[in-house]
Amino acid sequence: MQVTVKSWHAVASWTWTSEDDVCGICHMPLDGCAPGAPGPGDDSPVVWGRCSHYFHLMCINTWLHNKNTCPICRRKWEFARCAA
Amino acid sequence: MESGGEPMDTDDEDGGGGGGLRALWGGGPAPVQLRRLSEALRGLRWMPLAEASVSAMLQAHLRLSLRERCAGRFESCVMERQLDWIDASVLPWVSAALESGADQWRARDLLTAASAPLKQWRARLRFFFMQSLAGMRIAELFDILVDFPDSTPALDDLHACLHHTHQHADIVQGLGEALEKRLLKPGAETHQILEVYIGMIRALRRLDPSGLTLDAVSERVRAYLKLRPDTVKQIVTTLTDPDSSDLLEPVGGGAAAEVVQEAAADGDMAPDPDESRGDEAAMLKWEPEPVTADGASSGGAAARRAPDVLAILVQIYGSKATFVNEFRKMLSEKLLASASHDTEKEVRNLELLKKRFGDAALSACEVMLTDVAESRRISRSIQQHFGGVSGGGEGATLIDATVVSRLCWPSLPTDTFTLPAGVKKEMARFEKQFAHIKAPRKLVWKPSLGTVTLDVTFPDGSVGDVQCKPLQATILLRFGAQQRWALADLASELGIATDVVRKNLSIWLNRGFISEVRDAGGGAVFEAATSLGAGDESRHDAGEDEDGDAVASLAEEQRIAEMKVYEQYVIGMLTNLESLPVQRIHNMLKMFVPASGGDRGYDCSEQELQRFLMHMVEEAKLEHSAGQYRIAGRH
Ligand SMILES: [Zn+2]
Ligand SMILES: [Zn+2]
Repeated sequence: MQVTVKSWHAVASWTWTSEDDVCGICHMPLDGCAPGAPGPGDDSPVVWGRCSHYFHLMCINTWLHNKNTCPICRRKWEFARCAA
Repeated sequence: MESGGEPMDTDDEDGGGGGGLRALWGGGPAPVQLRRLSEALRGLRWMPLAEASVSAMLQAHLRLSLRERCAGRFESCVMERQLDWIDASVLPWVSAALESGADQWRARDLLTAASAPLKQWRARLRFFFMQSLAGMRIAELFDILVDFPDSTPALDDLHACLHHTHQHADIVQGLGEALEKRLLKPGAETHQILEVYIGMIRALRRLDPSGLTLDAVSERVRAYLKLRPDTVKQIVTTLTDPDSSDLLEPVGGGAAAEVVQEAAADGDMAPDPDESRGDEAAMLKWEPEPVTADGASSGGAAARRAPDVLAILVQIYGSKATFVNEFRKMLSEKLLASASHDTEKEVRNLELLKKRFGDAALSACEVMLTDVAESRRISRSIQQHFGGVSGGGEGATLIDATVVSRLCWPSLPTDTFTLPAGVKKEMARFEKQFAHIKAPRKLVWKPSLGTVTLDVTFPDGSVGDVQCKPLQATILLRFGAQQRWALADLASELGIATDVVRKNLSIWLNRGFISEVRDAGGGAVFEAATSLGAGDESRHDAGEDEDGDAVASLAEEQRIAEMKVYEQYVIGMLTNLESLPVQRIHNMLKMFVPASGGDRGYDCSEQELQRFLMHMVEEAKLEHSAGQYRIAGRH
């Protein structure tokens, strides 16, 4: 018996960091929707700070209206250029 | 008695037979003997005794006449005509038999000159007649429902009778029994049951606009449909079938219908206000309850909003939220089992459901479909990157993947096993490229999910496009590489428990690709078939069904095959305990087949077990009645 794979249709999920991570501001799963966002993923992007803490982009933006520090370590918030 | 007994029309003649009694009200003047007899009885003061016999005789005759004329004939109204016939033919006879000459009544004097006792007789006979007609129609109600709307006249007769006789409880009981006996059986297809149920919803609404009779009868149909695995799918199919767009129209018609349609135009299709408040209890109530089911007094009932058929179908699941959840599960199964990323039909269905339940309730489903569309885009781009979509290029990958936003999907199983090395390598390539496109997002594979298409070749022939689950494919690939495997070796090779291997081998045993042999030590050993022979039932067209029905039923067949290991436990339990409800069998299996080591033990849901038990009933191994299972043929 000879068995050949013609196609392998696989299933995966995506995650920003790891599956049980939550956003430090809204406390919702990082992989879920930011409050008010229409959907997860592209609609709820996640950003990293230089301090290596990360949040939903929408959440940190709202936060930065009033403060300019990281909500977790209180250091001055600066966006990292890419994922930590 | 000049005019009293004229035949109503030619085929009605004198009351449709009734043997010897026919002569009594044949239409002519009351016989002289009858009048003499009646005078003699009156003289003896025996009339009260005679009245009882006359009454019994008349009732027997009315019943017989009714059966002969009207049984099984649903397409014309009979009540008014039959009541007229009582006035014209039966009452003159009663008068002749029981009243003195002077009081004797003529048909045309009915409302003015009839004696008080005769008026009582009339009321009694009419009531008795209506009760008999209602009783007969209730016994025939299942057939009337199946014939609806052609049977509307019979239904309207019953409605008119019930107004006087209030036999609603008989309907609930009689129809309930008929449903169990004739409809709610493993042999009936889900769509047939739904079809009858939809007819029943309309018919019973017409019969009892208060909706209470419908509610009472619906309960068992709903409970039954809820157990069927394909009910949501069939409801969605029915809903999205262009021929049944009237499902969204309210049942019951009349003024209530206009109200709802008007409201619908105003955006009343938005989610239930109870639901958006998260008020489960209020949602479950759905309809206010009038005091009685006869709807006799209720101006309120007519003004009440009549739910449409879909709303009632959705109630199978208790609430819209549960229905939507079931829909989401179904959608997930379908999307993940489908090898193509084609979602045109699902997108259309979702649009229809959104109109009905509101966008918010279905936002997760929306994300699921977006995920699949995005996965198609990414898979294509990754395949192009590796050199060609068609697998033509040297580095082309066989892998394509559906990448899900897992929080919007029903929870997905995470069980793992050792994938074939080649597949693992392909996945790693795919994953790297995904990270490239979607950085910083990463992939988490769900190895047990998805669909694999295989070609299987034997010296004497080959089977193309065999679709199966990844673990099943992995197992078959091992047999392609090595012809003979001891169960234990295969399990450790794949990093899973032996009974999981066994479950996933069953598809290949059934197809004859692999057979079980025993080695000298008595351990289970399996061997790849050396020839195709006649063994393969050639199910390779299963995946071509445009509806995915075949895929779904194949999956269910597989599930049942996997559950076969529990059959002996079930038979053992029922041998000892005689009869058990599904819930207890479920609990006992959990107890008898616990998880141990790598073995997950009995991990089926109660619904899956129910399906499996029904399958055993179909195989005549078990019997099912009144919610209890027992071994077939034992009482
Ligand atoms: Zn957040
Ligand atoms: Zn920080």
